[in-house]
Amino acid sequence: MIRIEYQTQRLSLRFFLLMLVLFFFQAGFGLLLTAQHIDPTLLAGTLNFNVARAEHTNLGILWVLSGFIGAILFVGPLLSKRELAAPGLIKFLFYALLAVVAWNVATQWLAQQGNAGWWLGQPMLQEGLEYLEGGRITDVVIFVGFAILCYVLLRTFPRVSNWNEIHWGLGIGVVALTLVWVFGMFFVERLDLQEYFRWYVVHYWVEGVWEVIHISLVGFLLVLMFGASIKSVGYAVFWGIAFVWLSGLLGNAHHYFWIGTPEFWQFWGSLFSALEPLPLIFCFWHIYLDAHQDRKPIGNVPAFAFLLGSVVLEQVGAGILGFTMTFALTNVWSHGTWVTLSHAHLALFGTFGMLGLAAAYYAVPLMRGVVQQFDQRLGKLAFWLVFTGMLGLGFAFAIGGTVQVFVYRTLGLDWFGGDVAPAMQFAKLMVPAFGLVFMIGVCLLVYDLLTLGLRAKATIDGPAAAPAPTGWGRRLYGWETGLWLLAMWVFGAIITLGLLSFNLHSVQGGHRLFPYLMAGIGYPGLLLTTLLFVGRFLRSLEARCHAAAAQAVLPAGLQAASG
Amino acid sequence: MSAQRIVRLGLAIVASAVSLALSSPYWRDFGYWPESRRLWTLYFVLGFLLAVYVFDAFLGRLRTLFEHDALERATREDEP
Repeated sequence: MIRIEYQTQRLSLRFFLLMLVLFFFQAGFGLLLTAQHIDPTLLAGTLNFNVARAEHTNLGILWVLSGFIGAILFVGPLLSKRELAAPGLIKFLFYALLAVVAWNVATQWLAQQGNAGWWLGQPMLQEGLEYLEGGRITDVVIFVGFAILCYVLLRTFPRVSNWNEIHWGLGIGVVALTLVWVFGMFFVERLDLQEYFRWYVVHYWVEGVWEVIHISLVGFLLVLMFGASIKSVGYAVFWGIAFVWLSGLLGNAHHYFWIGTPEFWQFWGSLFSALEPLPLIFCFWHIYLDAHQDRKPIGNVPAFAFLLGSVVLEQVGAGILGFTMTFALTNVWSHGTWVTLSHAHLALFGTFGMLGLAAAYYAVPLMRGVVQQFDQRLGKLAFWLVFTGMLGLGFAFAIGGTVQVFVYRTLGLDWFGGDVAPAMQFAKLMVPAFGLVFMIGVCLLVYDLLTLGLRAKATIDGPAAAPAPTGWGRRLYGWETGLWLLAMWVFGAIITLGLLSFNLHSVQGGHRLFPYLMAGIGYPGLLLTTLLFVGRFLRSLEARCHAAAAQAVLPAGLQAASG
Repeated sequence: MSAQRIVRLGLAIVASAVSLALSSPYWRDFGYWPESRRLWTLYFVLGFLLAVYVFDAFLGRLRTLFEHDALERATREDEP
């Protein structure tokens, strides 16, 4: 695809641009939080830590949703072979989303004043539920927005009898997105029950619904980028979704361990969430196979880099780091500590955020009509900065979290008495350092995508500038990919052992060597392996341009001889 | 039963057994159904069997994914 086929696809542009703006502010709030961690008095009373944190998490969800909507609107007409239904409603949806963002950002500050805006027994302005802080008015507008998205997509799609697996995945995904949201729309006075429904929305969304949309969009983007066959991608999408539900519907019970739900969830919650990485491994192989189906040069490297980053960080952040802390025996220590933050940042930004950015990098050049003369250097640099920055953040949180578990949970030292903070000081300094790298990447990619096709044309590297297909750029075979994956899981097993060791009497008695050693080997090993693997994967794909250029200058006779 | 099927099932059982071992609950008093040890056993066995099924299905479908890839590659290479 080298040009826009349906004019209503252009409606996705505004959602992508909104995504970028929100992403910028979300990352900015993140940087502010790192500073407040180091100096807790910073902006105290003006913009308290809890308010800045709520803005950070809420904007995180809103920009991911904006990216999802943009991606769905962009691929919808291609999947349906016709224009989007009800473009007027889509424009309304955009303004509704803007209103929700403005309302959400503005009302979080009211938490500082203790004002929830109670009316008719409901917290209308803000409700202080982590991740779902927007008040009931926002909830209703979001529900209407999701309903519009469902209507537009299902009206655009062909008759159900003509649906393939990607239609089913996206169709079920957007309907479930709307239905699961309902569980966050009522107030329950009993705190444990309210918490249960909050988890219901947050985690069934992420592990049961967003994953489905993610798998479907990854599949279709692979079709667009590599010309992969819909039939084989459909097979991968179907089974990916099936495994998400076979493992995740019961596995989600790992969120029920400590919130007052019955104890029996500890066993099935642990067992089935241990299976949750399976669909992610499936998706990992699916992207490897489709990217290597033909050996043609890759046209849009930033788009594929973000797509690969999405699938690999899903594997590492959601799959491996999720696995390490999903068992009751490890989760009892890691729950609510920085260890969880490491998982959450890599999984949420990696899996869903990077998918939105991949879709934007694919769609924006097409919509701006610059696909043929698209300067990809800024996009590639931005990818490496945000990818490395996020892996570094994951590392800093994981190391800080390990210290936190030992000092806070096993030794039982005071959080508020100031015992824990000094112990975590080194990690607290690493977070802004990597956060800064990440922020520079965010600024670059926002600038690049906002101005793509509008700024002066730069000189574009020809195929000869691509890396040679030797050494790091040689072809990536399946066995080598398998070894990289195995290495990641070996480091994941080491991390798991480290977390399990907090159950040992010796560790609880004050011997920290074993958990610290396991974390010191496991986390850097896993994150460095991830970084190197993605570098290797992308290098081998970029080297195809070099190979294609070399092939083009070979005399015809030599080409025939080289076969 | 083919050798491949036996290997796949064997792997699924081993993987499920490891998952089962790691999934030992943090509480140790089996307090939710104190009156019925049989119910607890059923709960563990059912969980294990479901896990074996999911692992087995995963390994089988992954194999098919690679087979599809090989078939498509062969088709592309046959094309003029």
